[in-house]
Amino acid sequence: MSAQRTERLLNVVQVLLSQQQPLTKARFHEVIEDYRNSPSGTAFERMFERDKESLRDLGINIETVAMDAWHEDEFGYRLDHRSARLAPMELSADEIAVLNIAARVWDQAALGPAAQTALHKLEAIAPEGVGERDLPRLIEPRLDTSDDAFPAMVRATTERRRISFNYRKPGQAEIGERHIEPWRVVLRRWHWYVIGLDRDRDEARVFRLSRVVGDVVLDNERGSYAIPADLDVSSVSPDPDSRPEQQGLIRVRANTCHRLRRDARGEPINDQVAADRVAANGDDSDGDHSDWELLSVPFRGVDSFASVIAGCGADAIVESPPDLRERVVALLSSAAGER
Amino acid sequence: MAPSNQLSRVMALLPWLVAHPDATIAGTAIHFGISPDQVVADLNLLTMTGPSWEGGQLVDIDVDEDGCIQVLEAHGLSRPLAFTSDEATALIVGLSMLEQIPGSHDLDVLTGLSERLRQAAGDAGQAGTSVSVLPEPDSDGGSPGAAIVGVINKAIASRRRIHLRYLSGTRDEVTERDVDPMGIFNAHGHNYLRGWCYRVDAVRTFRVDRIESAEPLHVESNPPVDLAPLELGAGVLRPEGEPVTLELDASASWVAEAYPVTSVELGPNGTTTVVMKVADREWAIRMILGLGGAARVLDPPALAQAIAGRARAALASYR
Repeated sequence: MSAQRTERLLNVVQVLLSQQQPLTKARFHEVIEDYRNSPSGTAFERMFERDKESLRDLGINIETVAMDAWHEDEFGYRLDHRSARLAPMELSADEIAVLNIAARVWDQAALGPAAQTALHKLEAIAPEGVGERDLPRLIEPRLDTSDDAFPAMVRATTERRRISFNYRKPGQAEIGERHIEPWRVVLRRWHWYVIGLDRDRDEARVFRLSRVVGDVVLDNERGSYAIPADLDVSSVSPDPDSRPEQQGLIRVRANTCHRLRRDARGEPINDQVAADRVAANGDDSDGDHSDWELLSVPFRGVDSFASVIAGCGADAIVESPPDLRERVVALLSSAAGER
Repeated sequence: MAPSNQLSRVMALLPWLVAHPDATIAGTAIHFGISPDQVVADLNLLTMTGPSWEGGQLVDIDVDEDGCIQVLEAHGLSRPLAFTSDEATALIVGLSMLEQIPGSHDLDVLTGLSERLRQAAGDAGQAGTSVSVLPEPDSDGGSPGAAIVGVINKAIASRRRIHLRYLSGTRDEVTERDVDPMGIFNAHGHNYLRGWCYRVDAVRTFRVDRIESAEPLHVESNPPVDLAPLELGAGVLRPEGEPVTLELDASASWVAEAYPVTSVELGPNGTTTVVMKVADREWAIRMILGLGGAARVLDPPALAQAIAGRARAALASYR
């Protein structure tokens, strides 16, 4: 936004806030320099409409009202003075401190500036809360909203505006255009999703924001649909891992595989069998063939655990269970180019 | 698309100054996270402008030679504007994030604050319902993590340096470090310690579940004032890293979503070709080896050879 435009909008707000009575468009034309200097009546009208729209984005809703009962065709503009200003609120120093931490959740994230402005507004109505910010030490949560689509999705959902966007399912080449009535933006398992009505399929669908390609286009009309009152967002992504825990017996070379050691149950057992086997294979590059240990490591899901073990290369050998062992051998064969 | 940040800030600045009559240019700059020059520019915007109005300006502000800011006249602008929906959303979602950190906050205080914010926000408070944060199981669950968090928090409160045994996230090694702790953060489902690390003489972020042990030292801690943003998740993938081109089967396409990639191209049969900038080759070898043949290194060839060589060495142990 240009400096001149910022200045003009500020002037419009100043005029609106200082007046109880509605002001006619002609009066705005008179007192706002840019309006007065606009080249034509149409140019002024366009500028005025655009400014009203920008102010609405800042939370300033300009109402259009009849100037008086006798002249119903003459319109004026005013703010609803009761809703235009923040209602008084009493906040203690501790509460302001908690709100500071809540605002910092958005540090570096999409709503960071909005969170800070909200805080400054509260500090203005509860000044005694400022300055006393030392709370007992707390874990501070941080949100990641690096998905480009996030700000537009929140806005569309809040204003109930229909949207369209290009969407790519993972591993699929085609990008499809989707037409959605967004109901709720949801964080689940540290990913952002939007749940809404897919208008082409006439069904509720869930979209992951990181899979949106390019811009989200918002319909101009606000409040154009209703959000179901019984909306259940728990269906957004599958439940956490409920697979049974298993124990893997893994032989590891001394001073390696620290992640497996961290997760292991009990103390490692010195392991002569593995040492001898490695020595017999002539692959004892380190020369320390007595230093192998046996770990018992709990895991859920063979595939992801096999991946971790394969990543350890020749430092970890699966003893059991057999399906884990087979899976690791398959991963390694394939990585070695033996298909 | 986003409304002007300056306009929102300037309109919040005036009521804030009215409520803080002892504010200075320097203090205001720090509080609002802007430069002192920007504070002056914001004040100018508030006073130098003004409609062609009978009686002249609506706002009058005086700044003395010590940089103290006095609002002489604010007319209708001395009370802050109502929350925008983004502002209400930011605070309400922020509070619900705090509710998810077990044990660290008084839940009644958080719920009460949320409720009062919603009321104060009126229509904009509806916005708090457009974003939901679903509860997650604590991924760092179990007592060891909690015990280490306890040690760190105690050290921060008593301003003590701590000694860490830390399991590297990228390499198969455990390092010993002395750290002046600054704070604990939770992001992507993990707790992180941020602090000044004397091993590298720089601010570092450590994942709490990789801290094998933490002991307070009999040394006073003296961490720097942390002005840099908390950067998480990037880790070994940095712009200055070596570009690695990977061809991923559909079964490994999650890699392109889990790590920052600089380009994505879709190929036949659901394959994807991605480029990632890798600052630590050892990390890349282990990650790609773990994917088996579902990820193939197209470039650089030396990396492809290193992975195949390591896979063959590992296979020898199974034969």
